[in-house]
Amino acid sequence: MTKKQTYSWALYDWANSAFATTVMAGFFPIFFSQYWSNPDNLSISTFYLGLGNSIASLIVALMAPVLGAIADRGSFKKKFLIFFAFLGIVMTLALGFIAQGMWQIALLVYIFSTIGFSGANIFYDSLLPAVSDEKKRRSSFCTRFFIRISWRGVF
Amino acid sequence: MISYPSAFGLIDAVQATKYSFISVAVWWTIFSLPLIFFVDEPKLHSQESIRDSIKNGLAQFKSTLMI
Repeated sequence: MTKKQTYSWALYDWANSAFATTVMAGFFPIFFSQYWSNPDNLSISTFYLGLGNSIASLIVALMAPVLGAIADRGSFKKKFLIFFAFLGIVMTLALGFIAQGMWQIALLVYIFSTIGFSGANIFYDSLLPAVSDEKKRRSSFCTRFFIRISWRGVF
Repeated sequence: MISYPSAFGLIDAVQATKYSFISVAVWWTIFSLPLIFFVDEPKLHSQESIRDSIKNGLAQFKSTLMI
């Protein structure tokens, strides 16, 4: 464990905060109701947005314990993290190319991007022991730096 | 970028929003690279093959639920 590894690990939070703020909290809900769905039917598009979020959360919740056990066994945490991050990145990229009115495709792509984001977070968190000191995990450099950079990334 | 699309050489807010999605993908990729290259995962268990990991992982998951 070196400082370089700690920084590298923490930077991933800086990386995916862009998704949490810009896509999840920011523009996807607005763009979904105004551009991909019919803007006159707000209640329906809001319903489908909620449905999409629920489906994504449900899939992650069901997958997480199984994949976690498998990752523990074979030391696949980093591989799984890269896989889910890649899924999220590709799906986010795809959001930029979906034409007006294609709300079904937009929702499906959004579900996959959220699965990628949340799935990657599980394995990102599980890598914390790899970059922190066991003895001073509570007030270590790593913890302080992580809290600082994750919120800096948001703003 | 969304409020003033023309300042970024973009046509309208729609195009700006699409570019913002693409920029998220780029940002996410770039700042994931250090983790991919520099962080080493500790090998806690005697490393099992993919097949064994799936088999034993599922067994472990089942036994967790059976308590």
